[in-house]
Amino acid sequence: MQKGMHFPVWDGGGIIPAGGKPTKNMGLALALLVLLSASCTTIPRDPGPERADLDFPGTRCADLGGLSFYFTGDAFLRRAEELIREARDYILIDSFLVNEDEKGKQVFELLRARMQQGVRVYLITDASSGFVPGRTGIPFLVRMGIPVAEFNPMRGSRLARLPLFVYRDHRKFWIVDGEKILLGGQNIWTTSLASPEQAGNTDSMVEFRSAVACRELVEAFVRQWNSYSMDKLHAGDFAVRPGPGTGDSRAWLVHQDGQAVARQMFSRLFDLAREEIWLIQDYTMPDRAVLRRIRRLSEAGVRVNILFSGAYSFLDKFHYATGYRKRALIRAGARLWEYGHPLSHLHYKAVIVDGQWFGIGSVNFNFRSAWLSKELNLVLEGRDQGQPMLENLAYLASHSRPITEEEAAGFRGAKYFLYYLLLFLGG
Amino acid sequence: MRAAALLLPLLLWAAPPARCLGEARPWSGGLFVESCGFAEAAFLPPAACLSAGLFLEPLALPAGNPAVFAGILLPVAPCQAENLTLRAGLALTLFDARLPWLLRTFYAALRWSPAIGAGLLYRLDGAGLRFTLAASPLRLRAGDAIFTLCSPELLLDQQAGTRGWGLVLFQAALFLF
Repeated sequence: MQKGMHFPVWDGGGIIPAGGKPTKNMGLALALLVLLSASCTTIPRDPGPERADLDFPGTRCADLGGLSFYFTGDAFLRRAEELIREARDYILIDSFLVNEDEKGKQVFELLRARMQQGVRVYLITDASSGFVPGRTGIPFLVRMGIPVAEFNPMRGSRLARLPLFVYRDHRKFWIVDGEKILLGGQNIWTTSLASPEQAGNTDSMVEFRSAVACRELVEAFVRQWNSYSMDKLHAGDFAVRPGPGTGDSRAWLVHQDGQAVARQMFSRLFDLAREEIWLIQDYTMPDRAVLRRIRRLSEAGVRVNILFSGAYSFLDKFHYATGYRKRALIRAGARLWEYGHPLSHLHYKAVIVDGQWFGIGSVNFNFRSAWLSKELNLVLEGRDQGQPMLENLAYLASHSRPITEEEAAGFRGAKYFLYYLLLFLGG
Repeated sequence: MRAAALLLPLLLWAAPPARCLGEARPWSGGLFVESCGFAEAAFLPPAACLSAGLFLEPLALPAGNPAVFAGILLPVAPCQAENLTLRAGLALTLFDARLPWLLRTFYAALRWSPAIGAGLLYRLDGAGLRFTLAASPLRLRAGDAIFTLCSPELLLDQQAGTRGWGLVLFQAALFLF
């Protein structure tokens, strides 16, 4: 643990320069703004740079409510089991990875039990499950009679589609009874669902209710299901229940399903930054454009922090791949941190801007997530909505240490470079 | 001609952008590759051939579902680029039948999907034209692909006289868009 490290403290989330008071010019500008507003009440006000309604790359979920966050595998597993037991009508799951291991089987067996009681269950998974340690869960699911569809299979029979094997479905979301949605970074396997003390990932899922988001995800699920399964579904058969919100929630579903919106999300959030950005993004693999952007942010006085994992288990290739650009990130002005848990890999994917804007989901801060994957994030505005993420960030940061430029300079060998090249596209 | 023979497969193989797997709408077409051979020495020399091209299946009918295809065919063993041949036609899926044991075998919800077809083979050097009639009894359809095994073809000349026969050993038709 690093004592005395900087930790973000926001005082109301305004646009007051860091460490300073509003200047006289700002006061004058504010006075002028008030006068202009008063004299132009019939003209729709320009949302301005802080408001993202008009061009935010996502679906506005004004009816969003019932937010809950799960920051460890065991917490999410408990909630997932609870939701499966409570389900009355249907459960749709899209999980990048499914494995036939202890926790995976625990979930699948519960799903089967509920299917036998009349709950409809459908599961989509990416073909990547067959390329990670352990046994892919697809045969197990088939044997159990749980309907499963595999996205973009990577098999010899599909070899003619080889260039498209790089395109993956990286989303992780659950829809329960058309009202509860969970999304985030947790797959259905022990690595995601075990507690950090049992070497499970440090990861996150967010639960919420929103009819707008639900409708979009049900339609996307059914569309993808019908493209990869011969047992066709109809979106209309999956009822969506009204969201609980009052219609003024500041939340967006950033759903990359054929359009490259993940990078726009980062770009828009960076536009909004005035003081501090926290990227909890172990798979950060920046190209030159990203480094330039970080340099500009730093020069503008925005503190850019990136939190990496300290433990990698079988994912040590990412230590090499991300290490290669760490010195460049520091030179661009970013402050890098390493989460110090000795066992738990930091798989949590989040961005927090000025303690006011929060992005959580499956999106990594790299080229693959920007261009070569289906991704799903939830973006929230307002400290009240993101408070649990701030508290979790406080915990993570208090268990992290800074990565120095000297240390990062040691990550420049051939092995680091080769893994960077390999995982830039394939990671 | 040799350049075209190389270029077309490369274009077919490399051109589709990743986002075409975004399933903005139901599949309507893709590419096919197949290995085949013919017993009709007057038209094509005895050789193992590879064929590749595009197909369109715009309707999603449960029975009698039509598809059109066009591509090139090249004798590859031994390679004879001068015999590059255009292959085009129509295939009609008769029906899709659920065979539960296929699920256990392949871990994917495959359907038995026999088809019949008609088409033409046209030598690009102008040396000849043949019409084909095909039957594909061993044809399996997955959500994103159709696989055909041992599909026999009858070769007819312009007077509808039988001139020979052919066999598609394996064809993979993969949906892309």
